[in-house]
Amino acid sequence: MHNPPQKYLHFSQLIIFVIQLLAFQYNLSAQGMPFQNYSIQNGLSQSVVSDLMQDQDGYIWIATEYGLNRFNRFEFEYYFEENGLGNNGVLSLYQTRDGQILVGTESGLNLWNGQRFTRFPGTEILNEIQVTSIFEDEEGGLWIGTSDAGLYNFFQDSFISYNTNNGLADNEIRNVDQMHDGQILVATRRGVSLIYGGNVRKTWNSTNGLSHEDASDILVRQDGSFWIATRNGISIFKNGVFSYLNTQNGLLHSSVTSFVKDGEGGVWIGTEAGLSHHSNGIFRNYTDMNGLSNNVVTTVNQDFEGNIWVGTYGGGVDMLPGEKFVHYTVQQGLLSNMITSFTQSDDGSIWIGTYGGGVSRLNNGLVQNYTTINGLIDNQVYTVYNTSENDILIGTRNGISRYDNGVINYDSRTSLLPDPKVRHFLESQNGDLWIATYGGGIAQFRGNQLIKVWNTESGIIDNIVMRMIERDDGSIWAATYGGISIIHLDGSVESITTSEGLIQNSVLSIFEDHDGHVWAGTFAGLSKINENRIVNYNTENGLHSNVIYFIGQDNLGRIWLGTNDGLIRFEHEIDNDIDDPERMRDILKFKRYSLESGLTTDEMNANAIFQDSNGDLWLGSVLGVNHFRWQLDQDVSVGPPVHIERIRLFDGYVQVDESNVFKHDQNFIGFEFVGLSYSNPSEVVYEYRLSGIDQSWQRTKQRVVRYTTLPDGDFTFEVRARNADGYWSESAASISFTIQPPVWKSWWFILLLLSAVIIAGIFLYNYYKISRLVDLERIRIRIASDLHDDVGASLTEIALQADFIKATQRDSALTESLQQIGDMSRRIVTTMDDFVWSIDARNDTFGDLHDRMQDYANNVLTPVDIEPIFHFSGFESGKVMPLEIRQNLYLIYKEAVNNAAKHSKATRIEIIFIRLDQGFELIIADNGVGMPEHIRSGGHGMKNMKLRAARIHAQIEIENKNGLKISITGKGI
Amino acid sequence: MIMDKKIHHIAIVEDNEKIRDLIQKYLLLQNDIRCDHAYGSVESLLQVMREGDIPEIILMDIDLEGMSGIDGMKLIKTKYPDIEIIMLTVYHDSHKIFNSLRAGASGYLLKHTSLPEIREAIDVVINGGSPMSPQIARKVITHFNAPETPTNDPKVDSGLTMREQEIVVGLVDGLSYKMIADRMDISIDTVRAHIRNIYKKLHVNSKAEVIAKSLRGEI
Repeated sequence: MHNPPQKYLHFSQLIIFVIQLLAFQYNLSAQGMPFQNYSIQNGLSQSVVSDLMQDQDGYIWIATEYGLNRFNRFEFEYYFEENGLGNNGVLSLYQTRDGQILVGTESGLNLWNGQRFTRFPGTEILNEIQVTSIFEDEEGGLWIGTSDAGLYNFFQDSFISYNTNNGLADNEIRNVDQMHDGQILVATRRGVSLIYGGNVRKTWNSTNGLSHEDASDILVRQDGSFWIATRNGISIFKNGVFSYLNTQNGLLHSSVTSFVKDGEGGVWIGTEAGLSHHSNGIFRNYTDMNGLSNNVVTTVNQDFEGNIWVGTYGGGVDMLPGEKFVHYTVQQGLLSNMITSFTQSDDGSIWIGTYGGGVSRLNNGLVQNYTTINGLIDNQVYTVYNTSENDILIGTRNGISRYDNGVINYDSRTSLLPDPKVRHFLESQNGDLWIATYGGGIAQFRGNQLIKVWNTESGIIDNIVMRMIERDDGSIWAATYGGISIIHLDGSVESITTSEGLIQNSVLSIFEDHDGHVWAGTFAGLSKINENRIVNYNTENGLHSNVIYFIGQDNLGRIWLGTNDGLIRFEHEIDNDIDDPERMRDILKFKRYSLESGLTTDEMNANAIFQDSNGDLWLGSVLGVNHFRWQLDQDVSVGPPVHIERIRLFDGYVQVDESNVFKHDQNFIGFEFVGLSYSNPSEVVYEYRLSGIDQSWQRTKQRVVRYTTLPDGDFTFEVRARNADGYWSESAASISFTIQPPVWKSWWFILLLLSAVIIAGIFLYNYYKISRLVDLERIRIRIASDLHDDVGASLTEIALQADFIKATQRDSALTESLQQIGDMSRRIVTTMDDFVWSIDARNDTFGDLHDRMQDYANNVLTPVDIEPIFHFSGFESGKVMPLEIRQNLYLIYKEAVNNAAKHSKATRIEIIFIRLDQGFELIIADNGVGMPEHIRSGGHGMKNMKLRAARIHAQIEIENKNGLKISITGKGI
Repeated sequence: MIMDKKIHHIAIVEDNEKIRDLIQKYLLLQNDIRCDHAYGSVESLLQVMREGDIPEIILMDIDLEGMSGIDGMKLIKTKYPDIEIIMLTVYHDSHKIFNSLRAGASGYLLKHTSLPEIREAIDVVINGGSPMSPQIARKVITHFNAPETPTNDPKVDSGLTMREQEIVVGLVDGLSYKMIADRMDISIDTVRAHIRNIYKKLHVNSKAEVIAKSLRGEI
């Protein structure tokens, strides 16, 4: 025997148990609540909140020590002295029954006119006074409380002032309320006074019934009683008698600051140590331990959706979307936030399986953890199960542990498992224990005997089994990754897969509802199996997400689905054949709950759902436990008030006002709107239409709609909103605007246009003339080159033809003629070639000009025995030369060389072409006889040369000494 | 007429049909010239050459439909380096002419050159000479003197000898072959031989380019 003696074992276990109790128990009063905090980091102007309210339009107004805020759940709008407030220190807020918004500041009373704040007419007497409270009585009279000047009652055009001089308990007023019989109750720094008929009738203080004289709030209840918040608990005056609620009754703290009715007969109470909810005689207390941002509560209020708004001293505002979700996470003492499973033991404890943190047990406000330290086989727990013998079975990644009489034991069935990863336990009616494994199929135990392994070899469709249910007929239905396998009592197995209509074969979860329908959750949606009919649901027909981690049902028959994107309430019994299609359209079969509705996170976990003995649902997520008191969840049957907040043009925003007129080019228009819903803003759906543009209402979840290139005319934009429960705004928000016709419809523009047309006409005419010249030039070149190509070719043919005939006959006279024909043709070709070259833009470099000049000189001068001498310098031969200059220079040159050849009788001729700075010089000088007199005076050739030089703005000089020297100097190359 | 004179095989590529016919008919009149192939495109001539009928001299138009005369010559020269090619051109365009000479032409003729002159040019080429005009001579100088002359092997383009230089300069100055021969006190045939040599240097250079291009995969 290797085991130690039994006695020793028990003793050691006892010690461990005691250590566990000391070390691992936490006080659970600190359960998490889904408070949502809005403070400076979210845009609040200041974190010390003195008052808050929701106006009739649905906006939340928040008064702070520095500035007033209007909140729409997404953005804060700010108001300061520059917006007309008497002072940036804002103390009190009130909206009268006719909708006027009144703001009390450290310097008087202001009225909101929709654009800015003004002094409230007739209350100038308050201008230098701190206004701490505002109240409208049944007759429409206003009661304005101040910090040291008593109470003012304004009615019609006059007022009555109440203060210690005429019997008021104190001049520092905290709050005012009115009893059903019309009497006014005033809470002050030193007691509560009752005013009726223009007189202070009575005062209560600590000597005649109040628990403390310092009263900060007063609340008249439905039954005629009134509650007074004091520095020493709550004093309740009912039927002429005072009673008290204080810490000994469960109130969080005795220093009470603020009340608001919860609408269900209870009261939310702000204290200097947190928030209390008094309901059905019980206090539920919430402090920073539960998620409140700050414990000093200055004011508490409730919006029309039932959300609780808490103003704090230094923490901004907290919103609590009801008490339906309570959280348990590592902050509350769990060892892991990855929640896999729940069960409940007979003592009422909730057992929580976590992946990585073992098992946690919640009992009477205590959390106790069991891990491998306590003997748990593995901390990766997949499933927990309360057996008929009241043992807790714990299925882990690595086998089974059993909690039994306060001790965690190894469960010997572990060694018989086909796979150690245990996903689910199920005790069937015959007492057998079925164990689903991840990879080894299902193990069926009778006592500690393994009687059968159900795997793919024995007929089930896949060995990964996630969950099992037992039907009334004793069959076991198993959710596997290959579909649903049904093990009948007689041992036969059948399967339901996609072939039978299942939405997907990877079945994560399986559930039988109260009516005997089987539901299967997969990665691709949900299947409802009813006899032989399978109905499928996925995002195509309204489901928000396709990954169905768990399925459960509440006592009202509603199906609850855990997905990777929130919790979904599925009212599957809603009939599709309701008569009114308009109504049907907005009945939401699927309602989504998310982080913003109070969940710890949107990602749920596989099969982590449990219904406890109270009917509450326990939902496991990847970020802790959600204890869901679905009974407290109520539909919001008032649609979100909807407002168009801004109009956005292409280049900025414009304020929304009555007469919006835009220019024709301001036709890129965006409308920004909001439907005020604070608990489920992401589920708000909008419908909008623009008269004349949208045929029908268009749906969107965005808060902005843009239109581009609107035509001119009058338009009306309308938008309405639907909340998460399918209720529409009572009325749509609308805005009318005008887009002006473009300027081209006005007389002065037409005149302007006309003159522009005339100017353009003149311009075009000129342009046409110029382009005609350009065209002419182009045609000239074309004709020239065509002449060259076609006529040149023909002439060449003629010349060759002549050569050919000449070669084939012997008649000398004929030979002479043929020779002449050939020579003539060739000369014409050469001349034409030269001419075309000079005007053809294709040959426009300096090099070309050089070649041509040399060629010409050689052709013309060599036969007459004149030696040409060339000096070319300074030019890049590949550089393009302006056409004008090239043309004219070449023609001048030809004229000069030709003249020299004909008349000079020279023996040599020097041709110098050099580049000068920014220009050129061309010199043609011969050593001949010079120019004859009759030409010098202006012969035809000279005139031509001068004309051409002038055309390119060049100077031409002729020196008739020792031969003729012609120099041309010019610029532009 | 010397009887043992060899019959020379001349081909013509010219897209003007009439000019082509005239030159062909004229050449057919010559005893020592055979001219069976006269086509309008390089492609057609290549077709015949592929069948084995290789001419000695080709008269080649520059502006042709399809493959240009210069490209055609490059192609023919790489395959049949011994074929002499004389370019025919309408335009007196020294760029084109020089490019064609660099690509391997042995000379050029303007189309309106008379038929006997064409015959003379063919003779010059047959006898191992080449015609060169002053413009071309200028370009030859520029080509050999330019420091940036593109070449892969400096030895190939070692430049012109003094003699060759003198001849080219003479040509640039517009001197005739005869005048150059007189000035340098050599025979006109020697001048021709020199000019022929200068062309070869141009060709060698251009062949190097062809090889370089084919290595780069451009041809």
